[in-house]
Amino acid sequence: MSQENRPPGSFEALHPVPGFAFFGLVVLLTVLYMHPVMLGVSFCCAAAWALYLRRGRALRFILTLLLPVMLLAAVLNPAFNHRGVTILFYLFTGNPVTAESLYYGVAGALMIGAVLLWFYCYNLVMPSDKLLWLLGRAVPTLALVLSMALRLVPHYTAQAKRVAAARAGLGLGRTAASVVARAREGLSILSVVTTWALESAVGTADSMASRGFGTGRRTAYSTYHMTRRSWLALAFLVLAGAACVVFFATGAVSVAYFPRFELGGAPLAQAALCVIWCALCAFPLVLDLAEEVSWRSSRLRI
Amino acid sequence: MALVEVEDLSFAYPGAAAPALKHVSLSLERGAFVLLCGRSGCGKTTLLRQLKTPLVPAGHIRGHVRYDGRTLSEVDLREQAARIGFVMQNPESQLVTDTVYHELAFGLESLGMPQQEIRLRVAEMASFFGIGEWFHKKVTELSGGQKQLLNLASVMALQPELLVLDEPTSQLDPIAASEFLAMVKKINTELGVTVLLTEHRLEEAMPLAEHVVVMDAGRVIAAGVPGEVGLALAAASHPLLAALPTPMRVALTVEGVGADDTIPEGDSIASKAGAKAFCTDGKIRETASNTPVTIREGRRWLARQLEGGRLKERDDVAGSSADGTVSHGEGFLANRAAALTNETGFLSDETAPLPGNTPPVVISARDLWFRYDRNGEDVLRGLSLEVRAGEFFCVVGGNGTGKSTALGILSGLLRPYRGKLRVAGIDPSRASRAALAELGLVALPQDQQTLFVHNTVLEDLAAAAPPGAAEDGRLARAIEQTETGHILSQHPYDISCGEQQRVALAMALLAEPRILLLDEPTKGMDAFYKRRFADILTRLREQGLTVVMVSHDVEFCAEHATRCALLFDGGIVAEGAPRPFFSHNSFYTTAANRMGRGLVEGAVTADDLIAALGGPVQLPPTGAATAGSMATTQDTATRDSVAQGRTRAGGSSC
Repeated sequence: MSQENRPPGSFEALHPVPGFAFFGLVVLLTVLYMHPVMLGVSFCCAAAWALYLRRGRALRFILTLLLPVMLLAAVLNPAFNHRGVTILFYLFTGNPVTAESLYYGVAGALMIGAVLLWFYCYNLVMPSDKLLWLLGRAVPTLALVLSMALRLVPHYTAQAKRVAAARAGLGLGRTAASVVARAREGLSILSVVTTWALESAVGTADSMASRGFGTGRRTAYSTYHMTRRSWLALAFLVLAGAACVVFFATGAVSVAYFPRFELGGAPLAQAALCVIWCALCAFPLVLDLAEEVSWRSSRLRI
Repeated sequence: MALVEVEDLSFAYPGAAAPALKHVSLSLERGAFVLLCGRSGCGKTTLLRQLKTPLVPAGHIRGHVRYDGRTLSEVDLREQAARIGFVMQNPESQLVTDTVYHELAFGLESLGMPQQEIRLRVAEMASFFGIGEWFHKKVTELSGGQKQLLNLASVMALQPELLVLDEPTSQLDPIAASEFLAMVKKINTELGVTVLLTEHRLEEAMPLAEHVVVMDAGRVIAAGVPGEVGLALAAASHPLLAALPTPMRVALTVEGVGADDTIPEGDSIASKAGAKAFCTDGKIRETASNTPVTIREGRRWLARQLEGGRLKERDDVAGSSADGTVSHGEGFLANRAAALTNETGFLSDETAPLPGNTPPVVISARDLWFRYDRNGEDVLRGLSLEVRAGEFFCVVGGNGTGKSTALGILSGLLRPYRGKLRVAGIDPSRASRAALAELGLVALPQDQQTLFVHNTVLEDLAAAAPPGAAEDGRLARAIEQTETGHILSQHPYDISCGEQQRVALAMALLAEPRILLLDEPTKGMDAFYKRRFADILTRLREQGLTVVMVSHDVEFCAEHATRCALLFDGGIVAEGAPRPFFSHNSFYTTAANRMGRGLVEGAVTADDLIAALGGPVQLPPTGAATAGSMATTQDTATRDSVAQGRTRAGGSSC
């Protein structure tokens, strides 16, 4: 979604800081603790958000790419990992298949699926300029280099296409269909684009120098504002994340897969963790849905 | 005190035989709008680059450049970055970052401005330039005109007091170019920024300028208000006269200023500083201020001329069928055509039905529909056209009307999803490359640099030539026909725009075309090269070549095409021979036609107006011999100035 079209209250419209905080937290906590309930919640929330953002295309991604990968992971773990005390049956190799390794395989599959889905969503809602913003704070020049690189790729591709068309118009290349001839034609195009790129780089360098590049300290500009909404979101994310960490760090909740699968901790602590984790994972989807509802009603008033 | 003072500046590129700048003196007052003009390779770019330290090319410098009273090289680079804005030719390569807003902020970031200040200035510039709508876009999504406006805006964000523009519109179509120049004018008048502009599109730029400086071969040969400079050029019968705005050219030619005092061309007027002396003469100063520059002034001037009876005296000779001023003009033009036919055997374009057999149809397109993207919009909606053998068919039209797309379809690079296209009987989009080569269907791209693979012009030509072409003299003939002999050993990126276009044409000729498709070939060419390019095309057409050209350049089409068509909304809305075609349009037409509308009806080119007023007219070339000889005399002149002026100027890529 392009920047100007995103609804003002959606997750995507938040400042990059809460954005990065969210993805950092969910991915980190999902991978770190491998709590089965947390994994399930994480996977479901990520899938729901992906489906909300991309509908059919996300469904296709999940069904054709994600589920096979997860299935493979779930099956491979018990086939090669024989730890655990509850033996279910023996393989033809004589190795046991244990219930624990099966659980662990399923948990691992869920973890992989959830993380991949979070990255899928990350790509949709965190455009490159948000990353640039983060880098720009730390190393302004690195941000500039990235921004230039992002321009050059489409810049060069477009020129390569123009060159190919121009040569075809003159009847150069393409006449011979042999592999060698085609490779030679490819090299010619590459050569034209390279010369042109060098020439164009001279122009860019002049333009940069004439606008004061390299005359001293740089700053980095961004169009993002840390609004009250973004501050609140950040506060919520930090608190929820900290709470989860505290539960595990103090031993109030613990998970063990081997030698025997065990969920440690008082039922109350388990329940509290689940509620907080749900709130954390569902946060962007809730934000987007609430925004859509309010957007629909406010649009009626426009 | 002047903002910029250039004092007796000479500059030579390392290893160059002749200096690129010779004793140039120039002073820019605060708030002035100065136009620097001259043929390509005269040292304009080299001079401009002396005005900003990071851009000064390596070489030997003598003389002084002072900025605000201080020697320029002593002004701090940060200060120069902020106070002297510089916009170059190529809209694309000047962009640094990937998004519009980041580009606007780039200079401010480089100067280490605080976030809040950047935010304010970016917002200001975006509003001043009307960038708001595409503020968040990627720069790759912008059109050429938008890119160049963005370059201007991001320079203006630094709030410079001097704006230097080096042929900023040479790569833009005329509509985007006039928008850009209007913006430069707005910056000058509303913000008081001093502007120094070089341009080859004098028709548009001259009316904006307060002060004009003309350079030739590294020297300033004339300076003053537009009228004065026009008079000086006319007095010297300088080739640049052909590039002046139509009203000036017509008035200067008709009034015949200085036509009698024969000042030899070239350096001599520069050495005598003739132009300056010439303009200080009181009487001539008055004439200078009366010389029309804009179309409006031109029309007033023309009306005065008609009242004075200039048209009548010629009309008496022509015949007495006239009953009013309007038909006077018409009567005259008809007579002119007749006279031309009688004297030189030149057939005027209006005589549409040629005697004898009409040439066969070579391109026939019926009801073509095309879109780039399955879910996108139609670019062509039912395009139909017919081109006969030997025609020079020009398609004009605004931006985004599908001109280049139409050409892509005719060349077989794109395939219409509906409709019937036949080029010499076959469908080019389905034909094999070999079949197309057999047909002789050749298309030249808009950006001729996309064709240059090798390190010298000769290598590129040899690579484009079919096997055996070097031995049997076909290569030599293509070089001769396109007059590229003198640049064979140069790198194709180091020659001027007009020369690059001619090298591209030579490459096309080596493919032995019978039908040549040209996309905007005159873009970036100065008036002088345009004429030579047209001569080359005329000669090739006499050898049986059919030319289809899409262009924004109505002046060129009016003068040289045999038939013109207007493309709008994906189809052709009108077509005809240039004269009736352009005299029928009121906006999309030549400057001469707008100037003569209602006064000299039917005039389409400046020569028409001049002829109608009884001034001296150059006859159009009548055959290969005439054209050839004319080209050779001009050729020597350019070659000299090229050799002197632009050794490795580097900046004049197109």
